[in-house]
Amino acid sequence: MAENITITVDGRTVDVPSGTLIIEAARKLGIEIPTFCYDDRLRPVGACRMCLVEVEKMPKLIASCATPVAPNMIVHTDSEKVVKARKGVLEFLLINHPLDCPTCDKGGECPLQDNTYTYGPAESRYGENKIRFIEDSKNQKFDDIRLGPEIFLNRNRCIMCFKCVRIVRDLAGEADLGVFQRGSFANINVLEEIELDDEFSGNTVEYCPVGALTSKSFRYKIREWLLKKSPSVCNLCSDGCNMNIEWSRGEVFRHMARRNSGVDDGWLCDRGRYGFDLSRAQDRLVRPHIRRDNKLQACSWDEASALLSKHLQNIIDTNKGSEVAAVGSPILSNEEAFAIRRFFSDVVKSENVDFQTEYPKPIEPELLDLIGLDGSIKDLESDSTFVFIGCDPAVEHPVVSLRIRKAVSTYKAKAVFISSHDKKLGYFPITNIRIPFSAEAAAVNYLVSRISGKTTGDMADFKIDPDGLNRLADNLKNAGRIHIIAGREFFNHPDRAALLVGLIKLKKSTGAKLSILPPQGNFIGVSRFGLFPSLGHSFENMLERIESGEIKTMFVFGANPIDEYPDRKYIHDVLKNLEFLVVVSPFANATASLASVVLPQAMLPDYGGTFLNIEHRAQKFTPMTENPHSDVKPAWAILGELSSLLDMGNIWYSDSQVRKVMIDTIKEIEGLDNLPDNGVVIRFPAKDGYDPGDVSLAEPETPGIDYPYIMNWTPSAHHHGWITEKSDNLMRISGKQIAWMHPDDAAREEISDGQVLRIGTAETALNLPVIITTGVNKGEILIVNSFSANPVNRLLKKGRPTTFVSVRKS
Amino acid sequence: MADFEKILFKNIDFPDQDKIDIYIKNGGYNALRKALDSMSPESVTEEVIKSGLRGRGGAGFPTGRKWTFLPKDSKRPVYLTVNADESEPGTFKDRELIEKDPHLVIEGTLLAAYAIKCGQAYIYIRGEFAFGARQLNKAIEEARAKGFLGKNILGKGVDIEIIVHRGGGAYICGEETALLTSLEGNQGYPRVKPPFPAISGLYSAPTIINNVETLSNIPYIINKGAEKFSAFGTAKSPGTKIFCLSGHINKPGNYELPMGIPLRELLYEYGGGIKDGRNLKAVIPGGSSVPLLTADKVDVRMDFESLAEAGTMLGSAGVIVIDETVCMVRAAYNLARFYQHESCGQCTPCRQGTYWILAILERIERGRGSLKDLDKLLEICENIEGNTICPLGDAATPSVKSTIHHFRDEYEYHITEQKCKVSMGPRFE
Amino acid sequence: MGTTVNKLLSEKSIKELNRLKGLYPVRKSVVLMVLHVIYDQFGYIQPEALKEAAGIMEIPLIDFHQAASFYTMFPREAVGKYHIQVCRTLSCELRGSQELVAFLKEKLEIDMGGITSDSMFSLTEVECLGSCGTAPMMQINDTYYENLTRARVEQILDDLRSKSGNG
Ligand SMILES: Cc1cc2nc3c(=O)[nH]c(=O)nc-3n(C[C@H](O)[C@H](O)[C@H](O)COP(=O)(O)O)c2cc1C
Ligand code: SF4
Ligand code: FES
Repeated sequence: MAENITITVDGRTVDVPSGTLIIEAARKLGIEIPTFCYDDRLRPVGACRMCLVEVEKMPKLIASCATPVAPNMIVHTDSEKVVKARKGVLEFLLINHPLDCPTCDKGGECPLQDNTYTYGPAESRYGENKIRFIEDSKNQKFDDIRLGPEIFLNRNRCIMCFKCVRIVRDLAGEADLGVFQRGSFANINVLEEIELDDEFSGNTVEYCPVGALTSKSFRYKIREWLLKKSPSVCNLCSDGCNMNIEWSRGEVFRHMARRNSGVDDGWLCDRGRYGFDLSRAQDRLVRPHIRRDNKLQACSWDEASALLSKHLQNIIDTNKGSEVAAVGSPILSNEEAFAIRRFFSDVVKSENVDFQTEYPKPIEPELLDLIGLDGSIKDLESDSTFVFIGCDPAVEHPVVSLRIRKAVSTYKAKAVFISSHDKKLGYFPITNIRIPFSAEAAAVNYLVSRISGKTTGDMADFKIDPDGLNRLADNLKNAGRIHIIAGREFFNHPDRAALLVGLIKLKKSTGAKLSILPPQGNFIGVSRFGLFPSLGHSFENMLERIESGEIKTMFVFGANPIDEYPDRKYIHDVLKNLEFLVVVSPFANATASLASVVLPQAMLPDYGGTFLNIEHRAQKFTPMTENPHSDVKPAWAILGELSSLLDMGNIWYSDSQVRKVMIDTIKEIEGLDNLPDNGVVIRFPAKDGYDPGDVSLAEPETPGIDYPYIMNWTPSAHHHGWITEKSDNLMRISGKQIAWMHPDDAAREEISDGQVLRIGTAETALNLPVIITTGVNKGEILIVNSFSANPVNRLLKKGRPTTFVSVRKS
Repeated sequence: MADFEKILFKNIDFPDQDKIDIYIKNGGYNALRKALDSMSPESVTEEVIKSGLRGRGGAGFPTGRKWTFLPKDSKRPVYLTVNADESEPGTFKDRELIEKDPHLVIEGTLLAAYAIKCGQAYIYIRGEFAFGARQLNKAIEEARAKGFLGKNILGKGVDIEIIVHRGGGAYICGEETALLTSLEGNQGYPRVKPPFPAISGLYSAPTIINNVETLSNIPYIINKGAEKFSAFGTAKSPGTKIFCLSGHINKPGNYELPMGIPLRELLYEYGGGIKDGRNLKAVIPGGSSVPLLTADKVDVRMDFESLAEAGTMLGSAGVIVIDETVCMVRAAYNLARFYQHESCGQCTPCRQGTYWILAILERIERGRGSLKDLDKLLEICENIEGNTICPLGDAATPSVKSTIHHFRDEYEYHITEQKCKVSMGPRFE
Repeated sequence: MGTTVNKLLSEKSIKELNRLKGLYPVRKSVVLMVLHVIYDQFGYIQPEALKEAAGIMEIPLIDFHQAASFYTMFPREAVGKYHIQVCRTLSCELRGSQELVAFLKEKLEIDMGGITSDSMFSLTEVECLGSCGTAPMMQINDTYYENLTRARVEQILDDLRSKSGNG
């Protein structure tokens, strides 16, 4: 495969690996061949014929997008024949095209328009009727069809490049979109009862070469040329997809992919894409508030800062730094995290910082080195066996899961999921090995014993059916590149210590890569740059100290513990004990409503900074340069100003200044001040040889008679955490909270599909519609979390990630 | 009328020829037995190469040579797909073979499969041939019962399965790569070549596609030897060929005759002359996709080379006879409608071009044409030709171009007088 | 994910589907064959039955709909008990297919694409059916009727009518 082939394009020679397409070889010489249907990331179809070139000794023109180079090819991309053929193709494309450019959303960024301008015929010779597809709905006629909650299709503008179909089918592996009819009447559509709403659907709109596909949230709002672009990085999960935030007069209109081949490869998931309206959400905090007369009332920054500095000055003067705690969150930038740590240890003299408000138990410090992706995102394409434990890549890491989908769909890799409920990668073939809820640790330990030929112990205690695991163990013994990936459920796992031990052993016994992937945005950045409680109290301990009165003041940055912490009642009661609670947040939220002071925090795209993604890649995001929210500030700015009010000097006037200090303090992040467009992977020295030793498995819990079901929860692909609920777009796409249960359980409880259930403990309950499916275990109720109307943490009890519930018709 | 031994139609009208006992009684399955007994796969291929047999599906590619394009010692299974999609207007020969002598098709298929070391063959038969599919399936079961097909054929350790796969009504599925895409369960979209099917075909595995008639020649070649076969026909187009006569001819039907027979002999001696004693106007000699011949060319010989020299093609040898009463605009419109209807819609020039041609021809038909339309039509044809994924685009233009070329006066009359220059009387009796 | 209980597919159809399941190295190859099964049972692509079949075959429903709309043999809505398809391509037109169509329209008192009020006959035109030497011709359901004349067409229609006891 490695051999190179030399070809000549327009008189210049180029050397390319065999298998390279002619169009790519030309590109290497800087020769752009016009296309419509070609995309280097999608299977070539050679359908539009725009890319025809002349190859000497070949009787016909050939599609450069679908033909690999051959030795000594002599290619002409601009010969008379080629020019004529292109003109012909464009003329053909336009005969049934509506030419409604003035009212078309694609105007200004339309490849059909651009190519016609450059290569097309000067005038139209077409005088016949155009084919018109009309959608007849409720006695009204429309050109547009609603394909899903966000996406509309005008088939008349479609030029049949098949990109959308390839994106939906070959890339995402969804069967939502298809081609119907044939010939001149061939058209793209969905089936009546099916919606185009998979987690990548927005890419179809971005890559449609005409205005056929449009987004509800963008269309008819603004012309493309009025938009300014701020290069940014999505932080709604930890993949770190690059994007442009496109805005005008301080209003964000859309997010578009900004291709970083090593990370997102130019794809954006719908959560990241359509979450663009977050910064203008209804609940957005734009002014400081202080509590007066037991009510939060808007005030000026001067007032709020004066109050804060007075309070802190008192603490500093009385040396009571240890009575203060600061809580951050993975939505913060690296600079914010660093500044928080710096401020509290240097100015306030408190080491009580943490960001782990979501977990029942804090992470062991040694675990930090294991968190993140083993290898690069790109490397995933060459792994051959993926074993997912407590991780749902489609939901937690949508765009990174595309690499895995690619490997799986081309039969280069197998994906195996060990879980209590079925997971999927579109319709691509995967294996689900079902185990009882939270039996991951037992299952992994079983696998390890089986692989190393030791006695496997009795699985009956854990009610694990060993068949699937046996098969997996046998396969792992002679598999190629194995990659074990743990995710969100790992962090919430009741027996996390034992699971970790098992995973490390499994890695050793199979020579696998092991990745433990946190789903939340800048988890790795905030933990590496200051918010990990290395010297002070973890969040869990802070709560106890608040109860005992040792901690009296708390600052919360970007977090919302009341919605996050896995015991809502407890955290609420504890936080009420605080004398002084400061909430710095982009949004009003449940925690803020308890605060003494609430400060409006900057979020994308109000400010600039950097994030670290799962592969420890530092990437830069930039603000829009006009912002009507003049009062919102990033944490480092707030703390910098406070610091100067406290006469400690403000050293932070910009994110790059914070970075300078960071670089001075932390050696290994040298490149951080001068990040290239595609970011830099930072290699933190690992404290190697971490051996957690042996841990015995926790006894499985058994449900009681009154509360026979175990409750489990999952995020959804479009919505995870309390923030995304603020996005009208995302709620429109996936705003329905549901629960799943097994048909046997449903039959026993006489519950039918779609019925609203009361899912509860002795104290409280949630009311949710149910979907009945064999995709979950018997005895398990799986709930989509992160909806404030029915928060799962209302059912949970401190220290335990799960609970037993009863189920009744509501 | 020269006397000669028929290769394909020897027993076509023999009573119960479709039953295996009769087929065997008439010498059937001897070739298979002979090949398995005494010939290696390579020597079967060798014999076919020597015979000079060329594909009967339209392109006339040498059959044995095609087989040698398969990669040697492929790790993937090799597939054989038999093209029984027969949808080219004017062509109906494969259907007769399948319906009346299905075992001949099966035996040919088995021999080809043996030659290319294929264990799984598919016969892709056009969906409308429901009877033909039943005939083939019946023949397969009979052959299986007698040990000619399935596991360990004739005790020689050779396994060959044949599945009859029914199409769903789409001319394009006769194009070999569209056939494969269709067989994989998709719309019949042709694929860009390379890669050629012999390298990456069905399920991306090495695949050979051959026409029904092509394969039906193989038993004879194996039985009687390559020389006997190539004694018929011309040097470059050896063997016999089934010519399908349709249109204004007294005795329409299939005629197996040596390649190179003069068109005149075919029409007047075998076909019984032009219907109702009228004069010949034109002949489309190779199915609707080839340029027509005007009446003065009736002495051309019917083989690949001679027809190419005459500016047309042998194609599928569907000979459509057109008499003097036919309006050539109407004929062109009829075929334009066919190609517009059958374009798969994948590539731009064919999808849009066939639509545009039809729209213009329809307008001319309705008497709303303009003289400028004729050059426009020719330019549209030019913009389609050679620029499409598969040859359907190229197949759509000859009927337009050759009618304009030879019968421009009829077009002009149609445009200026808003009616047909000639009109066809009632033909339905 | 809810399971539908109403079974439209006949036992024969289900048996055939199960046979098809393991027939091809890649399951999706069955798409056309499954459409034939539905067509054979219902005379058209009955949407609910197709859903059932897609479920049995574990192939996305849309794949069947794409195919059903690409290929011409599968009516998407109910047609007459006898579905008449007249070939309209050149060889047949040269032998009078246009007049044949006119004759059928008159006899059945329906238009192209229409269906008789008793749902007995429906009429469409199709492209070349590979029967050019025996033109004009028509296909009624699975059967070819060739070398047609007015008398023969009348006879055929009468026979079909009386076969259905409607005569
Ligand atoms: C549009 C189109 C339709 C075709 N239809 C048929 C057909 O119906 N039957 C057939 O055997 N070949 C057909 N062919 C030719 C096939 O692509 C292929 O060349 C042939 O099946 C090879 O078999 P042979 O080498 O035995 O002729 C068609 C080609 C094109 C471009
Ligand atoms: S030439 Fe016509 S039939 Fe062939 S691929 Fe293109 S659109 Fe399809
Ligand atoms: S870009 Fe090559 S055919 Fe469309």
